[in-house]
Amino acid sequence: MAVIDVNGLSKVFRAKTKEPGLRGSVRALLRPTYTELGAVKGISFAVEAGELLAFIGRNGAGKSTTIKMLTGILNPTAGTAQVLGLVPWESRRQLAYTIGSVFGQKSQLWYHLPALDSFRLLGSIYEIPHRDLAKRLDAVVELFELAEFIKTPVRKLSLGQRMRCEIAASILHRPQVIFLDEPTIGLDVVAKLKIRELIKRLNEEENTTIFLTSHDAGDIEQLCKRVIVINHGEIILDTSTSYLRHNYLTTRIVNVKFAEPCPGLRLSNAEILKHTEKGVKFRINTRSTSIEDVLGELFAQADTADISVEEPAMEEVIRDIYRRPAGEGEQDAVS
Amino acid sequence: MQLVSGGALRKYVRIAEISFTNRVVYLADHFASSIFLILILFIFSQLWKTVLGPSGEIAGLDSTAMLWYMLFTETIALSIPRAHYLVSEEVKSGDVAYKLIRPYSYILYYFAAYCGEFAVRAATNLSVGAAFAYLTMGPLTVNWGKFGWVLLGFALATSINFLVCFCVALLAFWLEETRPYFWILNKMTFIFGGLLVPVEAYPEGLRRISYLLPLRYSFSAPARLVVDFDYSLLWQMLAGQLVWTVLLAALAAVMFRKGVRRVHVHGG
Repeated sequence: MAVIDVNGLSKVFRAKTKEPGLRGSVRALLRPTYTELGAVKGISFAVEAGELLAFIGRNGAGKSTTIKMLTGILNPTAGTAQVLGLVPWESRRQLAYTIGSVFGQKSQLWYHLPALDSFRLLGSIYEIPHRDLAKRLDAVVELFELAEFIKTPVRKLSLGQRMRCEIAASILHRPQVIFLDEPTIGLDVVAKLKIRELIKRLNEEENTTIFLTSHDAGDIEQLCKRVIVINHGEIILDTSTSYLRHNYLTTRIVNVKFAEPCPGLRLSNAEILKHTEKGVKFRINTRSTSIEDVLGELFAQADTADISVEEPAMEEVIRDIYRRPAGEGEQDAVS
Repeated sequence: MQLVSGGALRKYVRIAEISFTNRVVYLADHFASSIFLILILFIFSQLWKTVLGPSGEIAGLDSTAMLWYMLFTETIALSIPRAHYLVSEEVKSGDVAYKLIRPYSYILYYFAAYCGEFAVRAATNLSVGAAFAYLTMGPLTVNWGKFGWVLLGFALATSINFLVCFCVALLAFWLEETRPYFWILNKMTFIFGGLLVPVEAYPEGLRRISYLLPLRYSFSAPARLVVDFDYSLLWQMLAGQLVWTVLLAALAAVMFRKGVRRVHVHGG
């Protein structure tokens, strides 16, 4: 059953424009002109219960606007959406009891007080009965390993610890869906790994549907089974992460270690990136050339000691998707 | 504005409580900032002693009552939390939208937070100021039997002050800059709130204007009631406070509802 159902959702922002200089300022005051910016353009998708979905895109692509519409912050210009059977912008408060959200740097914790105080306050805000809250707090503290610093004022916590508290704060009321808008932004490698582990556990142990936006390829690769790419307000790709990883970018990097130097090596269907006495590194496109053909050509000319084939990094895959013109990515998508 | 049911009331009490706790962290700062109150009270204690002497009065108040009156008006004025600046910033930046997806009323959330912070600030200002007034001008004769009415007057005064500031802060939905309006409000409070002298001592024209504004009911009237309890003033004050609380609450609710429609949050 779809917990998020989006059909033709669009959002157009109206922004005031102003010519530079004093004359422009006066003109804008007397005769204001506006420009319309289509932030989201008729997107449609559905998310099933228990999914862990990455919703990615470049800055200004429309991903945060989409999240804001799905949480009820913004009203769309056109289209429909339902989250847990409710229209977010019509039933914002009712929906608030069943969803959770973490928006990057927007904290819901009281800065000068320990996180525990904020958790208890959120318990009251979400009207969780006292006894249930105590049990839930114990579970969340254990799940997120917060015991060590839960009584420390938030201002004294590291960014990683604070983000753990932020996510913990957003799940106290047992939301069925949680929207995480760049939860690992600004974190160091260790803190990122911890947050990813917690998100994964949250998804697996509580079957929470997670709608995640991130610029970090690692978040997507390590957490999500499905990825939706949005660019210029349109969905350009909706596919499985493994498909994306293995099939989307069809280049492979081959590293070869020579048994004997091979100075005159020529490979007709490969791009040689580095060639030394000890070995060669080359890139092939598996869409136009088979690896076997290129390796056959290699073996005919060189005596090899070792060969390894590298798939492109997820970061590279995503960079390539962003670079492609709108519409091209859809050919590869397996929705 | 969402009406509060008995069950939901708990969350606003908790918000006030956490806001109170949050300000207790700064208790030393609050006591330090009370020095300003001492300075004002010292200047005016000297002024009233000189101007009024042992038997002179202003609007029925002698020099001792005048200083105690001023202590209460200034305590209210200096204890007003700066939450309205935060609201104004949230409206301007669009961050107000993030609060809309929490299961509480935005207005009541800030009112509860305002009350919690006001309580800490007022307690520190009042304790420091009262000690000074007692030592320099002598004790205030308080009719403790009527003290409940006085507290009610102060509670409604706090509501009015919150609503006035909140409405000005909400102007940020339509205006780029709200600071000039807060400045004007501050100056109007000084005069029409009767911060230094009870408005009853004003010339006719000025007094009439102050009677038409809510500021008299949130500063001058409750302060006067503490130093010079009078039932006719009490009923007049409570009626005025209730009318202004209802009017301002309605205005804040309408402004907020209309303003939220304009929220224009751009996403990444």
